[in-house]
Amino acid sequence: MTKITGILVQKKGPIGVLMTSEGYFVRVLLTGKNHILGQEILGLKYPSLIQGMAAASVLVVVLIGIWSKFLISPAAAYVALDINPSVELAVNKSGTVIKASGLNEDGMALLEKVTPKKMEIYQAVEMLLKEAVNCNYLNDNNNIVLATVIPSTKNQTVVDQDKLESTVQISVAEIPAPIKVVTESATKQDHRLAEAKGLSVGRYLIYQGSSQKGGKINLDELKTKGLGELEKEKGIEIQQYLPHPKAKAKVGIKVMPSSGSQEFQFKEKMNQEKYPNKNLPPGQLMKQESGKSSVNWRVLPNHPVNKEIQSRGDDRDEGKLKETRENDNQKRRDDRRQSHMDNKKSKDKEQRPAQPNAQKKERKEQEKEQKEKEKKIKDQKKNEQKEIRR
Amino acid sequence: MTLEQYTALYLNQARNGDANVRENILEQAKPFIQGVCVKYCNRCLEWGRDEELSVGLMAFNEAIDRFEEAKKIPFLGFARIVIKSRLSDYFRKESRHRHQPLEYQIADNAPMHHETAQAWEIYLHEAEMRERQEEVLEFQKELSQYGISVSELVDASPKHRDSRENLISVASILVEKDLLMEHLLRTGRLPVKELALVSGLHRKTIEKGRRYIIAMALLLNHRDRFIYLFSYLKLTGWSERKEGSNND
Repeated sequence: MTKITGILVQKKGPIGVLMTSEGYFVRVLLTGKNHILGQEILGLKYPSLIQGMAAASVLVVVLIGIWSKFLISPAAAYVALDINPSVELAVNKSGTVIKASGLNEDGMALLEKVTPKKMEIYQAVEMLLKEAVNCNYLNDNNNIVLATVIPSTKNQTVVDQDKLESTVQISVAEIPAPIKVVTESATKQDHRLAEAKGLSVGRYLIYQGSSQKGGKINLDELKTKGLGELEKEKGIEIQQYLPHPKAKAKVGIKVMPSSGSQEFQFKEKMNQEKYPNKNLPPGQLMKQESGKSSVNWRVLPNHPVNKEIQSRGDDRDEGKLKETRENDNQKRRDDRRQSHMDNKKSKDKEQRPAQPNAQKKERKEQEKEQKEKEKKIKDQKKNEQKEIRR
Repeated sequence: MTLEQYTALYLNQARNGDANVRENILEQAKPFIQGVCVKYCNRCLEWGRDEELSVGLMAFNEAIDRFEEAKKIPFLGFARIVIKSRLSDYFRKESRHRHQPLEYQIADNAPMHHETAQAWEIYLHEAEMRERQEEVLEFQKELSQYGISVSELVDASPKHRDSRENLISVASILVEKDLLMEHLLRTGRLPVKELALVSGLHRKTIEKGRRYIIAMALLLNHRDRFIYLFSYLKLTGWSERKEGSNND
């Protein structure tokens, strides 16, 4: 907005028309009060409709941007990870992490090393766990991962508990020590109460459970010690204290040689032989093998992903069936060839394997003879008619 | 030379005591004074017959002395205010002192006291405001006679200075040619064809700026009526000359 001085020629509310000393008539926004027509006045140049529209559109775009950043993505769910470092991730509707906060010292230290913000929740969990393994938070002594999902409203499926569990297990699989993975779901109220006590939700639930069952665990202990340590010291099973846990029993999570995986390894080898340069684009790999690319693949027992692989193994059995079928077909073809050769060698032999063909030929010949006969008859008739005319 | 230019040129000289120049200015301003007086009295006035005109002339003379450029009032506007106020004074005295001897009236012309000077200042300010407002309203009325509203004028006035100056030059040409101006005043239509010939601009540019040209032509033509508006425009060039004369 530029300031313009001129003589006020017309006044309508806050908008006036000025005549400048150069003879330019402008519509302006009047500043101040008590203007009299004919006075020399300082006015703010009134933006034209087009300028106004442009400004408005820019404003709308900016507002939408801000809106989408702050208003559209309130946390749709929280995921609390407890190893010893307790970390809480806020997840928006589309499943990306919008906020990560460490709930104890270790958690904060962990978050200083990695920033899971703006990542997919499962990827973020995987990354956090790997970092935890690297920093030796997860080891023989401290071997429990408690993942708690807190949806902000009921029946929300932003973070799938099973999928979360599987990702945790996959990312934990590197460690030789058996890791116990416990997943838990909690309500928003629990989240609030836990926040009030300065605990992560998982730990708060444990604390609640323990206080109901006799109170073995102190608040301070909960705050400072790792879950695995607690379990060992107190001789308890953590899932007993949780209201509705989904705990996998202690399982060694290693690359398990199973029937399915053998098949898979075989395939992998085949792939390596076929495509020595693995620089193929992922899409191509997907095409060549209708599964995932086989890099970094681990198979877990009793696991949805594993089940899939097993089911894929079943598919391969079908493939085997197909192979046997093909083999049969080839055998048949060979037989035919042989028999054909035999025919040529021994035409006189009565037992012909290719009888139907011969029969067909005979039929055709017979038909031809018949046609010729008919033709002859017709010709004769024609000739007779011609003679009669003469 | 128009009256504005003349006064602008010689006003300072007259104020510095050059009696001849002052006489010349008064002589030049006579038609202006007559116009103002006639308008104020609403009847026909003649030099040598009507006393109102001599009152006006004296007022104009007073205006030359009292004029201050710092107030940013065009001199003629100021003079008009002074003439009108003196005329109203004159009529009031006439009705009050109709039967009193002349000596009393002479006493009225005694030098002004401080209070009256202050009152005069206030009066001048108010009168100026009123006159300005009246003038603008009159200009609007004049425009509406040609079917032009102020908001239309805003839309019609070119945004670029050169194109604006082109149109203004067309308007000034129009005012100079009496025949064309008369045509405009009589019919309310712009003689586009003739103007295109005279100014050398394309017919369409003139037609596009029709409203603006008409408005400017009216302002230039009735410069006696629209003193404030006209004096505000720098386009006339006399204001620049006036500055030059000040430097002398």
